[in-house]
Amino acid sequence: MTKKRWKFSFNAALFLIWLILFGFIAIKAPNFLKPNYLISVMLRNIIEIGMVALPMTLIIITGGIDLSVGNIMVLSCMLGGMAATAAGDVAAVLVTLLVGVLCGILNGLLIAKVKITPMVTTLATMYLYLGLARGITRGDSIYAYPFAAFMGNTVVLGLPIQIWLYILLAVIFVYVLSKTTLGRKIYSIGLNPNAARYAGIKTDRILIGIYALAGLICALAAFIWLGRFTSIKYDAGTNFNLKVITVVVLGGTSINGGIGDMKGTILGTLIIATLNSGLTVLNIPIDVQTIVQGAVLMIALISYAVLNERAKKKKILKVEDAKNAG
Amino acid sequence: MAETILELKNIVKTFPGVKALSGIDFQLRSGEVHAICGENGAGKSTLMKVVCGVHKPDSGTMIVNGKEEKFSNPLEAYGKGVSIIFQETSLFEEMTVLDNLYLGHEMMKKIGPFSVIDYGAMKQKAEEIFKRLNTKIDLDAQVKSLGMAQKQMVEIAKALTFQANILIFDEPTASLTQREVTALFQIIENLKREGLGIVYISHRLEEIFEICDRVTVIRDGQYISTKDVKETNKDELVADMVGRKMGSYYPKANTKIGGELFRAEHYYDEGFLEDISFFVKKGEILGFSGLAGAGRTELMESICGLTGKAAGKLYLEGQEIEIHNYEEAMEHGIVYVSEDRGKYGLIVDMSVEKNISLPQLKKLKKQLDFLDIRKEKELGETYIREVGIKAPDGEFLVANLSGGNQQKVSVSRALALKPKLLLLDEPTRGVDVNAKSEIHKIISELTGQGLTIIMVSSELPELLGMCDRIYVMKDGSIAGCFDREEATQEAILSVALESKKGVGA
Repeated sequence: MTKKRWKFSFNAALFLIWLILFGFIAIKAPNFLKPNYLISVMLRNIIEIGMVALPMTLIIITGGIDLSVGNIMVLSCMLGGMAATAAGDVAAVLVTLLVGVLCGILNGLLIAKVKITPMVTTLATMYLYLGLARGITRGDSIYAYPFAAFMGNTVVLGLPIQIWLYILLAVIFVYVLSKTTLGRKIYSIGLNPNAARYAGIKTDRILIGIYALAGLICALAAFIWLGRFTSIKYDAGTNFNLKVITVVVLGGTSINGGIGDMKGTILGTLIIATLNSGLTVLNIPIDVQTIVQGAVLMIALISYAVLNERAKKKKILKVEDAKNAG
Repeated sequence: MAETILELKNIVKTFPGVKALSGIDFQLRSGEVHAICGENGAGKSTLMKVVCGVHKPDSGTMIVNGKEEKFSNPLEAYGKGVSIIFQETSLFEEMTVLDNLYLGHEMMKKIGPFSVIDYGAMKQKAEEIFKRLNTKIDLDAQVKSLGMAQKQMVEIAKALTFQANILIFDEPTASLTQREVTALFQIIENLKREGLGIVYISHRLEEIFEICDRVTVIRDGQYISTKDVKETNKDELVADMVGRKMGSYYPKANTKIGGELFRAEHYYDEGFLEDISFFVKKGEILGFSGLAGAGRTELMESICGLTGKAAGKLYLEGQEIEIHNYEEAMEHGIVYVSEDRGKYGLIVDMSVEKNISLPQLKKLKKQLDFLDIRKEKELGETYIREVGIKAPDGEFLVANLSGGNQQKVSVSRALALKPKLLLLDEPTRGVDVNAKSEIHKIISELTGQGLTIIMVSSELPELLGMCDRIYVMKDGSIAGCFDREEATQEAILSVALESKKGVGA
């Protein structure tokens, strides 16, 4: 019970942070509040990061990390684009998805079966995928094909299609993590992988599965991304990996595994989106923007620590009360 | 002559959610071995951690060698002559013996303006200490190359490098063989004669009568009694520890034993197990005895598909079965309870009910993988009640339970799977007397209900008291089998020790 309440209150704290930022920016720059700006700049620009942050939350809860997501996105984008010129849209879609999933499976196999630590594995594959993307395209740009353009620029019922996709995915991921047996297994792997295995959980299969899932979501994000920018080079999306991880950590997921919440990740995404677009509206130079982002991340992490400590203290008092009463 | 060198007065220590110590008094004289006993969770280890500065007491005074002291870390305690030898050794495996002995308080010499480590002096001193201990250990050997008993020797030597006159042993014999225990006792005897005061914590009451002079009993964090060992007896101590008279120690029920339930034939696992064949009958409690490292745990884990593939045949109820992973074993009704609760058995940072449900999430899911939380709660509550786990509710974290209650969670989650064959690996290791007899009672009741149990244990009295038949393992193979009637400690030990390779120390 206490745990639930504490979780809620951290999400509430995140929500408060977001509200303050949003309000502050809105007062300073009334342009910001225009629905058009909010939807087509603030939200549309964060979707790829937000989407990939969803499976990244699962990965980090298992005690892992994936530093290669941005590069999976680029590589699947590149190969898909080449398939589009060679064999058309259907081939492009299939190739993009396949590349994403295969890259994820490779990560998962190395981590679960060869037992290399996730950080090192994905650091290595990050360079591998980057190099492949560069070598295969020989440094040339890849251009959007009809399906990618559709995913990046279509508006459905007043909202860009990618926002609908994100909402759908977010609902699914919240459900999976908090309500399903798979979600429970993911937490158990993060808390004690040995004990999880000794409880008959096929930890290897789950790990490979979620890294593959991350690859798949990267491929989905690749369509949107290519559509949005119309042309992309191998070196695009630098820092994408760290931005995704920032969003997850901002949402209160512990980098040590076992603790985390999908709703926090979603709130984290919203905060970063607001900051990115809001600070631009305020004409704040990019270097200051980066400083502000760092500061907000720190404030969130400090509030997390403070709330956590307080929840612990409350629990002690509660037990003492129970003892005194009993 | 025997002055009091350590005195604790009214020590109080509270942890999140638990009052671990409430007003403990204790005195240690020089030249005596003073035992502290009590159930698990009684606060023995906590008390000693307070003494050596790992924990800070909330209140109370501590007088060490005539001066009131408050240690804020173990190094400070070492400096004042208080050393503790922990349950699990705290040595650095990759470092050499010598480096371990002087870690954090290396002897230094000056070369010009620079201080450097004086290996020569350290070596000389270390050799002296080992001579005092009557042991020979290569100072340049890596600690990981040493046996358990030798590691303990290094720990003791480390304490002596600090000129300690108060030595605390926390369950020193838990992982030693009988011969190593004898050697250790000799050393303790010598140290005592040198005038050191020794605090000895152990679950094994026999040992207390063997080497201790006085014994202090604590229960639930409270001081109960201090007695001369010569003037007390086992029953009295047990009564003090549990707070009431104990009934029969091993409540073995007479069950009717049916036909063969499970059989392993020519079971072989490279490097661990060699040509093992055994069987167990329905309703039987089958014991596996042997020294540490004989391959008992490996056999159990291998049968359950928890380790890699092994050769050989397994039969359940006459049918040949194949088990590739633990999930398949559970589907056949074969369930394993690990000897190491914290590492493999339980997820201590999860609640009791979540731990119980973890192996059978499959049965608790509705459509779309949705977890049925109400059913999970019911399951948890049922077993908390039936097995008598002392937790306020199912949401209580396992980490906050005592060892005995954690073990009950471990057992009840195996029971929740409704097994046919239950493999219990050291079910009462690190569990206090009271919880031990409760667990024994549960085991008896289960066989009464027709469950078949294989029990691995290093405690011979437990096996002799509980089992219908006992296999003895040695070096990865089965060395003998005894029926209940013909099994004695001596017979089993002689088989287990026969032609055993030399033991160090």
